[in-house]
Amino acid sequence: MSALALDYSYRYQYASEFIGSAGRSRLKLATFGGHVVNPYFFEGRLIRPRRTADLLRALMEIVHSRFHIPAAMLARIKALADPVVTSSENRLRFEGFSGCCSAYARVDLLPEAVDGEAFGRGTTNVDFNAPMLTALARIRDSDTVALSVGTGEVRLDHGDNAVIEKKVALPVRWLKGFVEVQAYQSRMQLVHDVGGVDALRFLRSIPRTASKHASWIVPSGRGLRLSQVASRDGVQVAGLERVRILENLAPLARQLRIFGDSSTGTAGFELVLDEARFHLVLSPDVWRGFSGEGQVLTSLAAGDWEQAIPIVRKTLKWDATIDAEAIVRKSGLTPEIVRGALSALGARGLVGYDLEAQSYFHRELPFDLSLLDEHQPRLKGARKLIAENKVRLGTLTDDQQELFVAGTDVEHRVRVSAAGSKCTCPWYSKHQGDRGPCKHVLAAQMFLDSASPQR
Amino acid sequence: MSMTITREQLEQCLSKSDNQSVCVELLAEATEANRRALAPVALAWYRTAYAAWMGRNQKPEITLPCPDDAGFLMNGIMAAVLATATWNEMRKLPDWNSIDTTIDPDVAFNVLSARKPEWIDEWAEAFVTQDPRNWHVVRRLVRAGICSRSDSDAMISGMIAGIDDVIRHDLRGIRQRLLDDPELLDHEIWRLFEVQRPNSLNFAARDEFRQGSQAGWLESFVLMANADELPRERLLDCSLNALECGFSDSFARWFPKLHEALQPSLEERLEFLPRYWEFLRNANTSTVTFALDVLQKLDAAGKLADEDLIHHLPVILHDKSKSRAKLGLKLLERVSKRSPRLANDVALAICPALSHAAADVQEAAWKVIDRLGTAPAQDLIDAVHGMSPYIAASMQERVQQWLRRFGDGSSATDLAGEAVSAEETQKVLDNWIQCARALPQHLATVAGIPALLEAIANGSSSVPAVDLRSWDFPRLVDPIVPISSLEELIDTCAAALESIESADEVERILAGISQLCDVRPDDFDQRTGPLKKRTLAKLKGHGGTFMGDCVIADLNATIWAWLTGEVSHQVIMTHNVQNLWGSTAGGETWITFPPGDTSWLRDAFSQRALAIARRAARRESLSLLSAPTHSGGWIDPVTLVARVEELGDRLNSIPEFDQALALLRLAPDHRAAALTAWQATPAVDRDCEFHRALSHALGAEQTVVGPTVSLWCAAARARGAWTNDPLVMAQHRAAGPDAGQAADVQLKFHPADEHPGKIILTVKPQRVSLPARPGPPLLPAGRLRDDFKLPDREFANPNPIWLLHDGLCRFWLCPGGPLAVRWALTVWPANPDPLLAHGLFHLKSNIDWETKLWANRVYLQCLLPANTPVSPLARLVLVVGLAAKDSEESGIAVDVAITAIADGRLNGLDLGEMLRNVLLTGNFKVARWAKALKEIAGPTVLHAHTVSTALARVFTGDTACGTRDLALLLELLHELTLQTGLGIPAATRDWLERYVGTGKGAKAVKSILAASPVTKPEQLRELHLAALQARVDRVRNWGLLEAATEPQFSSEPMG
Repeated sequence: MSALALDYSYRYQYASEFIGSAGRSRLKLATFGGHVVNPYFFEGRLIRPRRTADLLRALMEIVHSRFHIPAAMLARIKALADPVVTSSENRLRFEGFSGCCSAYARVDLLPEAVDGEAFGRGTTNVDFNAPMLTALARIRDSDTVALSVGTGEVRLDHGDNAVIEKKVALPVRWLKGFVEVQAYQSRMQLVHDVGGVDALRFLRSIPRTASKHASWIVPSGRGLRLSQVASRDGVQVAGLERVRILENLAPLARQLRIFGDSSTGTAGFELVLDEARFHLVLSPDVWRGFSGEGQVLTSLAAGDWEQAIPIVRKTLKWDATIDAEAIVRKSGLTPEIVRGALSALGARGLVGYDLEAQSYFHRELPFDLSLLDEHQPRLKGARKLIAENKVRLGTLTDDQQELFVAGTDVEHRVRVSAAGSKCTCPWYSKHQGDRGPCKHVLAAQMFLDSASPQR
Repeated sequence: MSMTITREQLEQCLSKSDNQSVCVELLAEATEANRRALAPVALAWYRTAYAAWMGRNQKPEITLPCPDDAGFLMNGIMAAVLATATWNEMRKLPDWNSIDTTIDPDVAFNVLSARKPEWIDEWAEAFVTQDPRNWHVVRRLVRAGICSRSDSDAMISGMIAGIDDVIRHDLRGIRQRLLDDPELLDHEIWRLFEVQRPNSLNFAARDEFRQGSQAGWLESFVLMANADELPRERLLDCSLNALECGFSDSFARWFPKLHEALQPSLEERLEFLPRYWEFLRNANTSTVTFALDVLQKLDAAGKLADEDLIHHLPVILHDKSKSRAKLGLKLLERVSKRSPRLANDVALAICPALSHAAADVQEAAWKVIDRLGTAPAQDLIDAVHGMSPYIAASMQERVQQWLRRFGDGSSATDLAGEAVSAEETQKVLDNWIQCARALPQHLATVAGIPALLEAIANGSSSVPAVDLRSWDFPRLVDPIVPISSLEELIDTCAAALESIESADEVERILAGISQLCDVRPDDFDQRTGPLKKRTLAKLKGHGGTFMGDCVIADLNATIWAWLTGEVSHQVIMTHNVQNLWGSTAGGETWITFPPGDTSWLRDAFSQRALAIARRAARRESLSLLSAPTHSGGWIDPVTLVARVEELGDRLNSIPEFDQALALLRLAPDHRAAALTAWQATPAVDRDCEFHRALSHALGAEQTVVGPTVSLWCAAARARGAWTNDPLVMAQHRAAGPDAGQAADVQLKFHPADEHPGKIILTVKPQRVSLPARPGPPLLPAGRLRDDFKLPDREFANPNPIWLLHDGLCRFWLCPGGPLAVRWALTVWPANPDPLLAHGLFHLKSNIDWETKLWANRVYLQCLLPANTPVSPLARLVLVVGLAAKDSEESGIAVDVAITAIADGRLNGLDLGEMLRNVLLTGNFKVARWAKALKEIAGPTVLHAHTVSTALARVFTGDTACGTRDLALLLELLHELTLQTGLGIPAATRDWLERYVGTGKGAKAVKSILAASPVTKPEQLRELHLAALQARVDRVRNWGLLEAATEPQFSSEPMG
């Protein structure tokens, strides 16, 4: 693992493919990673194959998108990561994340979408290659399409059955974003809920050109419209080009639900189909990935939930929705600790968040995320400051503790109080704590935590 | 046997003017070990020559023979690098990727052929990725067996450029070039149908911009298919495969053309039929259009099954394009005609078209359903019922009748429900009327409540607009909390350095520095160290300080002066034997570009900030007289009185501009209390001109007007923003508009046939002609003369009113453009009209978004607050904004219109009159107005009614019938007339009856004239209720404000 990317090898037993003709075909999805190397999750058929294919293609459109390309990244514009699938009690969930880390998409296939047998539960990567995606475009609803996620056959690694290996460098910010988006979703509230026709009309009204400033989705009559003015009853969205991906799916939907969180500027969209759900969660701007938001840094630094995490984790059984109250009853932990532990589990890629159910679901990302905490640059920087003894106490008053933390050429003044922490560094000045604490504040907190028995 | 080449030999060759050929010749026979030994030499030469060529200040690794002409050596050096270094070494060289593409193709081929390096495949991939035109070099290497064959995306993209290289003037043509390299026809050519390429390498673009008589790609493929040089069946298949790859529309649109050019037979088309059906759902409009055309042909040939049409076509009825949706309807109608047994199925399939956004698509759909549904099945009735909320007003009556005829009584239930709700609405309206009557009379009058109540009593649908050009309602809405401590000042400045968008915050910081600059605890340096470092870094990034260039730069320089005691100033610096303008601070100097073309107003901000900075540097604390106490730039009169009292004799040190600014910013609130307090204070000096001006501004009678124009202009405007001040008029006769005499803005709209788009704005009385703002003097070339002095560019008598009315404020030309405009709007918060005049010019001249002028939208945003008056000039700015091309700019205009209609500041007649006037001038895109007006009509009945009234006003008098896209407005008027139940006014009917024209416009006119809208009492009640509620709420808010902001006479902490 380099400082910026995790070298990861997808080793599929075979390439995912769409085979067959004359109305009878099979979508064979190859799997890799998770609790076993090549898990076998599902065997059955798609009930509305064309619609499912459309949803999966839209998911991949997000995965393959880079809505923002920093100049230095021009040579690496291809997103290489595959989506992951979670087989849980009554649904298959496919999740993907855009290359620019600003858009998260998820397709939930409900029992009305797939008919078959689940052979296992868990989360794994699925191979979504270009030929298979192209073939998906040819599926018709009248076709009979079998679906398999993984295979029960034992395959040998030679001859025609050679393992398909894809080596990718998964950027750490991509991995961090993938886990951190869950923390954002858990704060979102339902703001708009409109029917399919209104959804289509609204999505078609979105300007074709890329937007520079944030807009607000506000009610207008029985439908929705875009406003350029901040509004309490609106949902803030920047980078509207990301929402346009929903336009092609809107004719299939009977409802569009829009969720928002005014404090962070993130927005969530849920297209409700009879047999499936399509979720799209957007960061506050195209150039701001979820990974840079640092929403979970404080909890990672504090580690308050460390003791509760194993207890809560033990109760997870690949539930499609996690009943936090049931965990409270079973474990004897307080609701706050359970909520905190779930949030921390989300930050470790062990649970996802379902906007519709407003609850977490069990899903373990098939990557080694143990080193992720180490690669939070601010956390790393804070630990370094502590290690190099660059934090010193200042004045203690009734309402705040002053600390000085060495920066480049200057000493930053950190003030820790019950109302929050402040720093004199440019990061804090720019974001005022909205994007998580700076490394100086984290270092100051660590310093105080370590010194607290003596204080 | 080859000889070992030495470093000296190589360097000797590299020093020659024709170093490329000699280097290649020298190294041609060298062994790989010898080459590798020479690599460090070649790399060092590259780095040194490149740095010299680019003018980079870098320590040279070798001594170049002629550093000034290093560029001439690069060709040979690159050849030497290619001949000696590894790919890993090359890629690390500065700009190698872009520079190596300039290597002579023959040199590259010869060098690499001789070397046959292991890394050649990696090099080839990068070489082609950097410039696809390099493909032909790589292809030569592939054909020579030196490089591996690759079908990567980059290589396939390169193939287009390589085969179709217009620059190389290869006269063989695409077809011949492909035939000359037959290996390509096996595999690579088919990959062209699978790889999305940049626009420049897109088949469509290449063929479109082809010049001369050579065949393009499409023609070449067809010729090759006809000559059996390429399999036609595979081409047909691939042309459809490409449409399934998720390519962008601009890329995909070429493939259907190829498909059609290959002229597939009917049998072949039938083989592809399932794919044509699926293309109806394609995301690309060109693909959908193609599929529809093909299906139409097949249907005409009788080759399509009716059931398939019924199954597949509904998806097209949602299509954004009206023509495609109508074509789908046409095909389905044909089915119903030839297979009457499928009538119900066809009608059901058509139902989604009833929710189409365009009324004419709905109408076309309804005609079919109505014809087919003479005995409709229940599922059809349910489907139509489900669509009824989305059906256009012009269709509603017919659909409701049909539902009543065939429905199961649900429509009747709806009507009963509506009756109950109408009764409830009436009750609610009565309650609101009672509330309105109980409101304080003076506020209710300003809010236009008596006039509205009269309209309600008369059952009139005319909603009078609220004219807020009055002093009789409170303005002090959001108080600005002053910075009260050093810690807060440090934090606020630190945040402002990173991002500042609010003019209130700019003023708050200036006031904070002015007030707290003498607070210097012992640990001041320690506490402000990080801020100081950051301020200097930001100063260097924002250009010139205190030179009327950038509000942000001036603010940062003021912070710097407070922190360090040093006032940043302009200097002349020498850079590369040139004399340049620079700014200096903290011992550093940076190049700046003084604005050559700006207004005095922006300069005034600089001068004001400079005065504060100088004082802060001397640590002389002083209350900032003109600092706003409330958002928008307003000053509470009571606070101003307290400030003046506190200042005492130090008032004399306050610049004249600041004094005038303080008066202009006076809010109308608490005037009487402030005047009483002022007159009672012993500090009043009747000889002091500012004291007298303040008394006059607060409403004192019989003041003796003094000679200082700026003070008395401001006092007159503060006394009554829109009224004449006879005393000041008498004393200062030729002081221009908004001095003693309130400005009278007159608009003249030239008809399109005279001067298209010309609008003349005249302000009376005539503007005072200000001296031209001096631009920066030209700096002498060569050595600066000792007697050269920087000019004093301060304006001797900066009257804020004159500055507001002066010429055009080119605020947008600086990094903080939007902030500069926002600050300018706080100079005279009562009346944005002088700045809107500038805004009008800027918006209109950039209506097609030719330049990204982000500051322009501030001119629209300033109309959003509910207390901002919407004057005729504001309406004009709004109407121009609605026609803006940029969706965000027009979006703000839509927001302004929706807000102003909701709170009563804008009504239909005023909006319509302005639309009509601007329409007369031509040169505005009517389609943009139509789109914006449709959106404005959406939120409530009040909005629909307002837009309907506005459009009715547009179509009166001499509005030209032949205006392009006028039909869109007429169609909207038709829908809104029926939706609101408003009749057409006589003047509009008269215009419509005189309408001359054909097509959609004539059809819409006919429909409007034929329609007999029924005035719905419940809609009228809703309309009245919406209008009244907003006004009552407005008055209640004013009342709450008046009650909440009791004047405070104790000394206040504001700076």
